[in-house]
Amino acid sequence: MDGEATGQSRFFLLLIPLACSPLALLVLYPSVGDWTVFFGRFHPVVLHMPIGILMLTAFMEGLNTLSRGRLRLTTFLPLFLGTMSAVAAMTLGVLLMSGEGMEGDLVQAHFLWGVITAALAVVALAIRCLPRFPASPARHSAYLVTLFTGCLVMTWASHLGASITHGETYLTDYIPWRSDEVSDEDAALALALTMPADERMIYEHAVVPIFVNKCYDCHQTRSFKGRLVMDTYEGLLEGGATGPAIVPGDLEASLAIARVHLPLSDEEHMPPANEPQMTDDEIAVIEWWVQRGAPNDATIASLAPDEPIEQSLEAVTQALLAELAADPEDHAYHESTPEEVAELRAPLRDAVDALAGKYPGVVRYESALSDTLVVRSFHDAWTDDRVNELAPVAERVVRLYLPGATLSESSGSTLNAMTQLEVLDVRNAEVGDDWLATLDLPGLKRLNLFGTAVTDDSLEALAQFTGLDSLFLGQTDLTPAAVSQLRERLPGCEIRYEPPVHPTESKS
Amino acid sequence: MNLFEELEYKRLKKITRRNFLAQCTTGLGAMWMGGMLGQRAMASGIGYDIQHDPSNPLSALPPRFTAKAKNVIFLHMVGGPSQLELFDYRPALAELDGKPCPPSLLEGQNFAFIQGTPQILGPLVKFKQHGQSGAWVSELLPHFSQIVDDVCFVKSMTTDQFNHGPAQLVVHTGNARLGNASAGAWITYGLGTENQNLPGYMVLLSGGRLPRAGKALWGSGYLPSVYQGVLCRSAGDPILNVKNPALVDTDMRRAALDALNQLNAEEYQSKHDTETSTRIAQYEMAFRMQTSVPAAMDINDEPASIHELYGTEPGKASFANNCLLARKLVERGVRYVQLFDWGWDSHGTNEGESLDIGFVRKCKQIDRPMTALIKDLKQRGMLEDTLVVWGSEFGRTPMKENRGGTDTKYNGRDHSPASFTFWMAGAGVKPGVTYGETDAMGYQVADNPVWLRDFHATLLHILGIDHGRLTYPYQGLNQKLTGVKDASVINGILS
Repeated sequence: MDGEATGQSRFFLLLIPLACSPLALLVLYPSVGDWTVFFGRFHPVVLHMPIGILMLTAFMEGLNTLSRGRLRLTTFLPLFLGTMSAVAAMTLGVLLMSGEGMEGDLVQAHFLWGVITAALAVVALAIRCLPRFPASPARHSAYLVTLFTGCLVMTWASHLGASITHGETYLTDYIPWRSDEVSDEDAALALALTMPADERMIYEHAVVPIFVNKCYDCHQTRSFKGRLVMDTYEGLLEGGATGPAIVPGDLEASLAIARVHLPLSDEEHMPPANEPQMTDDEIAVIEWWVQRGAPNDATIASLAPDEPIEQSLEAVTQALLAELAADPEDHAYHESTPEEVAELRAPLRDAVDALAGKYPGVVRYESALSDTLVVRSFHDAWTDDRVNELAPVAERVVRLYLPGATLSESSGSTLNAMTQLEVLDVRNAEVGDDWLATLDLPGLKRLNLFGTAVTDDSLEALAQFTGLDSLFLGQTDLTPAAVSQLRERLPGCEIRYEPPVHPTESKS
Repeated sequence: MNLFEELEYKRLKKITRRNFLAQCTTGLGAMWMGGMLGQRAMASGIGYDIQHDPSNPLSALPPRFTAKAKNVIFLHMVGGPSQLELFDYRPALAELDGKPCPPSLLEGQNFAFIQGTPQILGPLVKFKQHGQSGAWVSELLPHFSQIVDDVCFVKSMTTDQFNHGPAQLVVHTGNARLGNASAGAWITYGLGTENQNLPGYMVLLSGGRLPRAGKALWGSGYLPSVYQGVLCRSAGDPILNVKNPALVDTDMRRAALDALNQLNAEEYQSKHDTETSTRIAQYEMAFRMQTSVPAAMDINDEPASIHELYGTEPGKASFANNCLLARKLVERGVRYVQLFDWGWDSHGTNEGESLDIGFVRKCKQIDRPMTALIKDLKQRGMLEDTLVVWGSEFGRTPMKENRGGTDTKYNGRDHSPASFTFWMAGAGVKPGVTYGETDAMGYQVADNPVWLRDFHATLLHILGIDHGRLTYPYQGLNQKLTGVKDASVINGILS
């Protein structure tokens, strides 16, 4: 408390209107103009000042009181600055709300508690500025009560404000003792996405899950921007400040769709440029739904989706399910440390090191972070014996390139032990049908037999590689008839084969 | 106190406990801050620790993360072929043909040769859509038109250099000035090579003269010189100076090399200069190359059907031969094969450099071989691991070049750094995709601009390297291929 014995200057009263001066900015209210938004967006900048300064003031007053007059910390300046910044933060908040068209329970509550905060701060300052303040214990008590109440109200108001920007569960999402149970929203979403195909509703089980991820953050009933609520069907039809979000059957008039198609640099583009964007499949689903009259009680099947839409629906569902399944901690990019990689590699390290030392550059890890192996030999034709040397590490080999190798059945068991093998490239190798027949590699994705002596006898053996994405049979002894038969039996596999060129053709 | 005593006194003062503690207040704090902030300041993370086998600076290293591509073939059309006569079909340009160029297009632009107000020059050739992807390709590339579904076009390449030399340097080293390491050098530095009998980075010229920026285009800059590209000739000895001189046989050569290596090893032991170990490795590689290179560079052992496919002419220096060679080199594990084809600077000042004649001739020369390269890699299953890039240092203007008056005998276009087309095929890129767009005139980039540093970032990404972390300290800066400006991987073309 200031040390004046009797009274303080009446001029102190002038500080009250000065502290309230930021209210002048309310001339910009209500409006959605550029200036309003411009100033409004300083709300999150300014609001930290009253929080800090008023809290400090209250803390200092607390110390003064507890010390029974032994401490005399001067609080006038922080009180004045805290009050003025509280008024400024409130004013800017009002402008932000008006400029961005923000509404909803949360916004209303934050508005109300914010105004109360500013009012209490002004009252506290006013009492503090009264001429006879230092002499009157009653006024002093009233001042302290107002100040402390103001700080409590401000805490609640700022929590509500933070809930608007960060979401209501921001503080508790990573609570260490959180239960592993799936949240209600996630459970509902998972249920919607895994409905049997013939029961899936277009709105509830396809459209809503898309909106949940991409739109609800800013457009839900609890707090929404642009006067637009998207978490109710009525809200979509009613629309926001600039028009209806969805007009059944009319893509052009449906602003929710038009905004998505604006260039990313356009400030009207939605979702905002720094947020996750809608994927092409998601857009396709929403557009199809709107074209079909945007029903909220029809099943997907009843709208007779065509093939591309089926695919888009499936892609959207899979993407959302994958996101649900992902552990939240996986979202952060995690690069394994050298120690983690070393631990991963430890079981077979000696065997791998020995091979890598013997065949430098040929036997190596797939990447600096993996424990899987790649074997690529380009200047040296490999033989069965060498392949069998890989036996101790076979389970780790994912790619094996042995162009020009000479292989027979005796390497078959080593190769079959390569349970993780995805690519087997033996182009121009001395391998034949017998060798191929010994292979049993269900996980294989790419098999390159270009230029080998494989014949039609291998048809059966080749048809066993059901997991193949690509198969290279150029310049083999297979006949076109056998290859077309193979194409039928391996529908998911791209087979590269050109009928043999007869050597009648001369050099040009 | 005499001078010596004073110096001794000062020296002792420096090692006192008091001095140490006094220095601690600022010195240790500064060291701590340097360590803490310095690490954070490298926004993109800490540079990779590239550890090659000390005796073999080209030892193959695993990529830093799982890579799509293992090898790169880069076809560089030196001079800047006209994207407006090849891939970037702009019908609006035809309507403005012969009209004076609107001043708005000329404002603030630098031209190598255009003066005053030039005329608009419409596309001189017909375009058609091809394949399932519906990509527009000019009639000058009938073979290439068949494989557009395997190709990813980037039509929004852009650069800031409008002269050949600097622009070529940007394409290959990321910087318009001399002295930087080329992409191939960075890649062989980061990944080594898989065939120790061949260089990891080979350069093939299809005759004509050297590109304007010369050997700096495949230089190693500040990286150890072992990572520079090795220029091969397609006629005569492929690599100069690896043949044994007359009367020297392999054993003699071996003995001489052993003695030399021993001397060099002693030198390295005492000085630890990496250039010495590089030299040892280079001698050894040259020795191995004496047998492996002639075999790799000999295209005569290919079947007639392959020669037919590529349109090769054995014994000559030609783009077709080089395309076939590129396939053969990659087949043997060469990491990065760089082709330069000369004669694409279509200014219209003479027959050879005109869009009407010289350009058409050039298109005919490359059409079949480059198509054959893609087809051949594809049928061998090599396109799954190899990235093929076709491009140039810049494109050409939609304006007709008016050097020497408006009434020139031949049509030509000036250099245009504003936009040009790259295409890529193979590992890591989506086939049948067109990325980016130019404006209606085919002049400025309208959508998704791709700077060459973005291309480099993408190239490294496909090879399993984060461009921000492949660094080499030089002159106080952790040098990168993508330089100090922001570069981003073009996610839109990644498969």
